[in-house]
Amino acid sequence: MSEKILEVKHLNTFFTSGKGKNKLTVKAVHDVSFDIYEGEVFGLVGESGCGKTTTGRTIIKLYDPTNGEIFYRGRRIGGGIQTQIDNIKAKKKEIKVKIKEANGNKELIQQLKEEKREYISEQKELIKDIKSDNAFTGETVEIMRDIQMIFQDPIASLNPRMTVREIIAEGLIIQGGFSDKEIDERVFDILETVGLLPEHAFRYPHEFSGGQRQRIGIARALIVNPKLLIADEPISALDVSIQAQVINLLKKLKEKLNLTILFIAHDLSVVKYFSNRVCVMYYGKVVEMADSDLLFKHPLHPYTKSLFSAIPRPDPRFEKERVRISYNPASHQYSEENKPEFIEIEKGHFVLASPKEIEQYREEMAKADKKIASEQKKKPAAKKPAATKKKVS
Amino acid sequence: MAENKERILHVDNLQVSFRTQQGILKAVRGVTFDLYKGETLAIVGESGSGKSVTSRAIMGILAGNSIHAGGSIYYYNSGLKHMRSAKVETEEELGEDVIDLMKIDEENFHKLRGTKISMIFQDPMSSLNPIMKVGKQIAEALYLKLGLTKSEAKVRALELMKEVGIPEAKKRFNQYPFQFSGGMRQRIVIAIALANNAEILICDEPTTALDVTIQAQIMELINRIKEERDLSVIFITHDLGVVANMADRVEVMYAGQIVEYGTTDEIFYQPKHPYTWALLSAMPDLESKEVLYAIPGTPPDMHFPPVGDAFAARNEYALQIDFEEQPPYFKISDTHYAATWLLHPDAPKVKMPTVLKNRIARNVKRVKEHGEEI
Repeated sequence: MSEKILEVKHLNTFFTSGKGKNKLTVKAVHDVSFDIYEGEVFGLVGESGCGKTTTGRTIIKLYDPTNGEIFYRGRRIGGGIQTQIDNIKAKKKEIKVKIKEANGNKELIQQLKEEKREYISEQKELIKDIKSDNAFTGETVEIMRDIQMIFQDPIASLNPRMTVREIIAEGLIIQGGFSDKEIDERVFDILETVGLLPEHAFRYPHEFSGGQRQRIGIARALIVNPKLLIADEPISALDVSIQAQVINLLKKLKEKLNLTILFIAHDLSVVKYFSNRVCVMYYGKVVEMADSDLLFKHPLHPYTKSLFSAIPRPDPRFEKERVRISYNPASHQYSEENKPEFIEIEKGHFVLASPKEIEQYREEMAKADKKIASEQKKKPAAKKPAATKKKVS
Repeated sequence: MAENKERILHVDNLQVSFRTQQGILKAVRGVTFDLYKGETLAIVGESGSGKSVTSRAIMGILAGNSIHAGGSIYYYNSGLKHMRSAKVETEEELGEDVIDLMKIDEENFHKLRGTKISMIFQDPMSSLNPIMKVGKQIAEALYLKLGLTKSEAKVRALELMKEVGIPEAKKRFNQYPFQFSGGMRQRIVIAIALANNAEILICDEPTTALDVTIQAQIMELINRIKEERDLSVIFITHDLGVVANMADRVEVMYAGQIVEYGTTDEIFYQPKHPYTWALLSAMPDLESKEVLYAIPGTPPDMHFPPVGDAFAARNEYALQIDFEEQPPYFKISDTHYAATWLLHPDAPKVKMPTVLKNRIARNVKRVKEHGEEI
């Protein structure tokens, strides 16, 4: 398998509002871990509000992670400091208790205080480290150039008062060291790569259709030669026919520029078509992750199943009979003894499940395999009549 | 199907244009269709194909710069004549209680809107008033139109909220739209649309802003309510998966005209127009692996609608005549018509794209395995 390009380890992104009694914490991303390998398309699926966009935005440093770490090619590019803060708090409490128990033994108290000081400075060192990685200076800037993002709404994400050239060239100007002529050349080049014309460079975003605007967004992301592209629902706001254009374009660019893509979407048929591996999220947690063929062959987690059952297909007879499975998080009946864990159930297929459920899932998988095998056996026999039927219809 | 159903709406050669800075934009160029009682009619097309303009014309909410360039929308058995203080001329040749929605004035239209024809819009947030409690927004429709007292209206509004599947209706009654999720907001909009027992429900991309699971729920809700109330639904969308689920009949619109119409089975299993082929093959399904078919180019500029078949410029199957003369509707079956020269007896025999053909064959095969006929 190829090299890991991005590693996300126990990522947490929380948003807080209010203070004191009214403090409200939204756990948008809660303990999410995944790796993205070089050259693959990694699909991130889930309903709106499940934290998939937040994950993408945290990776590209639009939000600061609360906890956990993000590595790009083995180098940490972002991390949260909540663990360290919690550690310090816990240590302080622990020492306080110990001092009370010391009953005025001055030597012991001195020793404990020394221990506390040492521990805190140790943790503060770690925090400093993380913060310097988080900061947008020095080496990090160079690295972050390799990660670019395409946004969902092609209307809102382009500045209406800038020409297309200005929008696309902004990345280069910030990077610095290019003459106007070079910038022009590269802008025209990239416009052609994404299927627009050089003369489009001097127009404003409102003069373009939705599909063309999304192409401008893609051009803006590609101008700095990124290695990893985060595509945040790039096609949800587009018409069906234009969706196909953008998907084909992304596919072509991926081959041509050797890109790795983190593809965030809620349309499962598109994700299935486009991605190599798929990760399903539900309320800030990853519930299932697998190769896309594998996932569609054996969806195991009830939430994945309910997502699959909701895909509308262009087949009226199928649609009229479709039974939607609804997901109820309470159905798991997790308890202290029956805790869910993220387990590899078959090669490359991870699922969040308790030990009890794992057994149940294994059975389901065996059943599904049997069914597929028996269907494949049947196929050669059924082929001939099917061919004649085609003519009739 | 068409004979034994009661016709409720007849759109006859409707033409709507808009005055813009660049000149006259011809958004709808001669659309003719019928709507029967209790059916769901889906109108499919890209943005800018005129599907929303058609529906807004029926609802009488076209923008101020619109021009009624021709055609009529006949509404049967409106009962408007019997309403108080209505002065409407009925079309003599069409029968007793038939009115032309393009001709009646705003005051009369006011009596139809909401009570006879209702509409659900794409974005549930912008169609609700953000500073008004949702319960009041539903109740308002009731006491303004039906003349109920406020307490009666509240009781009825709570019933409606339960009907559209909002849990804890009593608590929710006093909340504001921002406290609702996208799917719940859309349910509120549906409740308002249904408050006055409208006969026709126009849904303008009601599920486009929602994600798949919520979309499926809203589709189920609309289907259920349609059955219960015997509504006629006009469903506008560009998502063919949604169409397959909802529609009894489908119309495919392109550049302000209907290019193909038929029953859902006919459109999905025997499409004839190259544009329908393109739309169907542009959508990946769970089995597709090949490069997706993308329709090349963009829709034509409707300030200068093309001569001949509007789709010809983007159509790889286009014939010479497509650029010269507009194709008439060719009959494929009693319910299925398509406007393409490819169906002319003299036209070369063209096959639909292999990708699509294989997919349809797959679907048809599965249906037949279930022992059904198409």
